[in-house]
Amino acid sequence: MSLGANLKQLRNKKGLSQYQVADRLGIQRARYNSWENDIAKPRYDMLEKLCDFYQVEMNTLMGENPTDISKDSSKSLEQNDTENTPSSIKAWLRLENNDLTENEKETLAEELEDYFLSRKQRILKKRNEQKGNE
Amino acid sequence: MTLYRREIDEAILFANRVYIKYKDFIKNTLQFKSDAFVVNIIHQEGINIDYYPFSNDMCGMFIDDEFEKTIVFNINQSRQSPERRNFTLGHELGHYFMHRDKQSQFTDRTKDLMDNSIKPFEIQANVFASYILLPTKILETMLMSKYSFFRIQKLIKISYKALFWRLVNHLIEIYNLTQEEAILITEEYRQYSIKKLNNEAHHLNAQLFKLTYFNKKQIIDKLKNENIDISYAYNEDEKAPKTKHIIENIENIKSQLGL
Repeated sequence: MSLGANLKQLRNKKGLSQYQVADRLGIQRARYNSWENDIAKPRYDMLEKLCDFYQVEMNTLMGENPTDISKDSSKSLEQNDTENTPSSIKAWLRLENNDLTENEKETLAEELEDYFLSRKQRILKKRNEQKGNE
Repeated sequence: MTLYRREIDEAILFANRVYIKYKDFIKNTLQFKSDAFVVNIIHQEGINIDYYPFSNDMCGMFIDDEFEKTIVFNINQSRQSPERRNFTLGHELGHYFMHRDKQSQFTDRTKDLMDNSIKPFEIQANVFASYILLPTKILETMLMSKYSFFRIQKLIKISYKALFWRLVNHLIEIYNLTQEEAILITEEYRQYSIKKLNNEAHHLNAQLFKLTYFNKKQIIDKLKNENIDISYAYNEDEKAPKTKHIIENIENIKSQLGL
């Protein structure tokens, strides 16, 4: 299992949202999201924080010992609400930006997530206004 | 670029069709405003223009989903250079017209908007952009009016490099030249345009203005003997454009158009 999949599973096991985990780590949700999607890798100090938080060993987190992570992961309810970047763009981020550093990739993933969230909000607002006018 | 001649020709065909559909918007050929032209097409096609301050070298995106069609440009780049923003808008518009049935999201970084991009979709979008920002009819009128390279650049507001390749493609298309021959003629014209100094009409000496279908071989032979330095065409780092421009944001353009 990849680091991202492990992070997702651990989070779901605890029944937390991406926002809640990001808050605990003192970072933006979009940045955390980029790790779960294997777009960017967290820095070492963040990995340590994650290990402390979930009470797991580093190699467990990195997916070297996948059986250690429980399989009874209930699907996160707000999964769809917390991921706004289309999957094709996530794939693009992973596959076609190897000229960027991990940090630059992470920033780009954050910005894209932020953009797609604001786009969705803008469109929903417009729709609600149109409904209000009808 | 010659490798993809078929794809390039296809993109030119698309751009010409779009130009014909919207050409009535252009009132005066010699005062053609590429940004207003492109913004108007985007609006008429029902596409929303949006922007975001990307810190990266992101240029723009075209998104087509269940919500809306959106073209996004990087407002940080736009502040530095309206030329760059215009090219991005033209590029994303190219994806919309040519590729939206094949892919619904396009994410473009600087490397995709370079002349040496190797992806056919990006090459096509770049050619489309350069043709929609400077349609053949407009370019021909300007050349007939004996405009210098820099005068065209200033009027159209595309980068020097984009104009350079636009001219190269124009010569290939009209006179059936090879890419190398077209580069030679374009570069001589560009260099003559620089050498203006005390002589406003200096650029008129460029062979470009004497070129016809019948004397092209003679002209090319002559230029080949002059050992013109054509490294400009292959030189990647372009001098940053002067930032003296008044920043015209999209809203201004839209309000001028009454959109």
